[in-house]
Amino acid sequence: MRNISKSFPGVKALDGVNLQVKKGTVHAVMGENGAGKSTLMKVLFGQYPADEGEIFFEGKQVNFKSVKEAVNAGISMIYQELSPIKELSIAENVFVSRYPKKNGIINWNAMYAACQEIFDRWGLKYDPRTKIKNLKTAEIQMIEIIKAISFNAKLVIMDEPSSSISQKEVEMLYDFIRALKEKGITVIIITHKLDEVFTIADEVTVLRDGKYIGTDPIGELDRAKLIKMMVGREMSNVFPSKDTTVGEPLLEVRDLNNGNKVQDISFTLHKGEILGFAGIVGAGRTETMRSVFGLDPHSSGEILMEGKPIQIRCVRDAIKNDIVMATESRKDDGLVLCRSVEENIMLPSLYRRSRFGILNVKENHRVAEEASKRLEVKTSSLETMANFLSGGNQQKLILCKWLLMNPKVLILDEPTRGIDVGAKWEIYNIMMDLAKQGVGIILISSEMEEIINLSDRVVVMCEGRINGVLQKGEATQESIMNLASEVRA
Amino acid sequence: MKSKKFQNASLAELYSRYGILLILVVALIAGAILSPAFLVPSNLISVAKNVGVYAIMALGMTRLLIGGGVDLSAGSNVAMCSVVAAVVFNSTENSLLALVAAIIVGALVGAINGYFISYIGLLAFIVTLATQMTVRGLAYLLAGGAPVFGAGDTFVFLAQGNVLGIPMILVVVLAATAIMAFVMSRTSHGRYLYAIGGNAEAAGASGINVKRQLFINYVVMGAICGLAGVIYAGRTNSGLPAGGVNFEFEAIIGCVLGGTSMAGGIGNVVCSIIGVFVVGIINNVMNLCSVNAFWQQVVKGIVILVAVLLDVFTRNAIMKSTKKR
Repeated sequence: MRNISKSFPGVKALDGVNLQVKKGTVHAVMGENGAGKSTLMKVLFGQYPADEGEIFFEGKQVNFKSVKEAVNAGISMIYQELSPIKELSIAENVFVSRYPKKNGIINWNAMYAACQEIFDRWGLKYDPRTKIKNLKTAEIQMIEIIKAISFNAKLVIMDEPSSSISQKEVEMLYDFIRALKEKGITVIIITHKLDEVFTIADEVTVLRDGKYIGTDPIGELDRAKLIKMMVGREMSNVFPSKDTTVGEPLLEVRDLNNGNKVQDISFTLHKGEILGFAGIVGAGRTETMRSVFGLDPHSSGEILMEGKPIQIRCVRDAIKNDIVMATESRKDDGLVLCRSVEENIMLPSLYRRSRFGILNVKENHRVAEEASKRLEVKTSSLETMANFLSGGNQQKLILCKWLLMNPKVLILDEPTRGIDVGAKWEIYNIMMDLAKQGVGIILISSEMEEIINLSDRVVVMCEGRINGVLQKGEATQESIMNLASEVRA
Repeated sequence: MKSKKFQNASLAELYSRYGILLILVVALIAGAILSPAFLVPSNLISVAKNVGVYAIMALGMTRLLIGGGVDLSAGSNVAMCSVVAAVVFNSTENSLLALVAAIIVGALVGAINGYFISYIGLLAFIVTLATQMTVRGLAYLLAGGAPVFGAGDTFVFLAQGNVLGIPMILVVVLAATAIMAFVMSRTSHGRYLYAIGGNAEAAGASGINVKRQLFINYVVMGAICGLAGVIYAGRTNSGLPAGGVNFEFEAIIGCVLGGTSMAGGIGNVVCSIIGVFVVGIINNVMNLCSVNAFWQQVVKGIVILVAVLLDVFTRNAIMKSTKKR
């Protein structure tokens, strides 16, 4: 791709961007949110026409006008948000829109056989008849990749493939990407994760603010250099240091149970403490916190706030006790995307701000504006639909709405998933500020670095139980992984 | 090229915000051109009287659609409430009592809908289809199978009378619309409905009691049907157990024309009311031009489809132009 430019009203999304990907390599495209990575890929994939520039594929100039043309030429894309048809089988999902037919009727046996053949070729052990809903996210991702290459793709584009899967599953994904490479398939991977780039990529292209920054082989890069390319500034430390001390016990949870995902959970959170919850995806961290927050019930157990037992039957109970939780998924239960920034910010605290249910519109507007300025939410106005904000800004929006409640306990479930380095840094700083003010923070994160560098203590969960608690010095990638994968008899 | 696209986007945005007003103006101009009898005060007053009941119902229906629900029993409920109003009035000669009774009965039907939909978790479509039939049957039973004549002068005045040349029904509709617009934009209950319809899970995770809000929404819809039933009784000066058929669809059509999303989370009562009036104008103009009744249905169907298509196109245009990534 040479000299690609693309503009949207008011924004120049891409400005003279170059991208050269060598055949049979894994090429990472990096950059902060809004850098233009996704737009570049969409131009390549025929979703948007480029305003300027030329695209060459296998030496020939191409100009895909639709996704179909790109697919026919041998390019496939796997989106960040997977969209399988959950009620259908694996084979149906792989062959959807091109079922093998005999006399106009779907030939089921041929389809299952063809699917099985592909699985055998790639050494995957799935039954083509399994319904997608029975698979884990990482497995669905495999299926999507399989689907992509079953179109005889020569180039596979993956948009943030590891953003929603656990460490172990990521390994599986990397192995698979290596296998693709061996078979001569070229992979472009869009990612925020530095580790990922150094593990899997051969070359890295960095974009910043829609501009091309550079392309380098991985061997010539180190973390500091890559971060510098992405953000355009030197970061002495990716994580802010926490210098506050931990205070009195704030939230105590004793023998909390809910099904097999939450078993005999006990922990104490102190004032000003950041308590990390580590574990592989599905270890029950989110489920535990959902029970604490009243989103899910708990069958037994005690919750104490500042030494006094409290009852939490619903979210409102938790909120009234100054416990709030920024949930895992912005799209599913974090934000009302079709409503405005202001409405989203004000949603949880409306009940406190109304008299007999009637709102003071001016006052609300002022509060929302102040809150969004404090966290530096980048939006053209408070009336903008939340949908139009970038991932990082959406995450800040969620923080905004909960900080307006002046919580004593803030539960953050994957607060930095899929957002860029700059926005992460800002969110870390917000956390530090809050801790300084005495807020107790529970941090659930699948990013080891984050957990290790931010937490005062790390609780490691595995299969619905707490497997151990590590002090600041003890928590390392190895010690956490060790506890997270160790199943107690 | 860039500036042209930008223009398209702002045009689309303009349309999505004021589109229904544009349609209203087009309908008024078209009506004036097609029939000299259209832009005459007496004719416009009759349009207002014709759509009064639909407009009142559309207020409740907009709320339901915004909250992610729907009520197919509304027409039956209106019929039922008209019968209740007539029966109570005939036995007590007290209009206020009749009004209160109709609203209570309507709200009760709404509560039954709301209970099954929000607390038991059944589909709104199914539950309200069931109550549509049940309530219709009950209305006939209560009325003894025939219209109950006499609804009292007060109701007749409400539905048919004029104050200083302005139809009373228009006053009622405007007042009710103003109240509902206030509720939707200036109360926490209204904001909750938008949030729930937009994303019920996120609303729940923000501490909103989703089930209770939805329940209230259906109860309010029922009470509104009670009011609509009273006006309906006044219009015909009787309680009509066979009346109100398909009225819920007239209300829904008005809402959709006014830009209320059937998927929830988006909509506005004022636009819905304008939508109801536009449908009324189209009906009226076709009557004035003595269009065959069958063709009228065909035209109405097409108008709805075109309006919804326009709505979707403009929304997509805005999405594409504003979404950077």
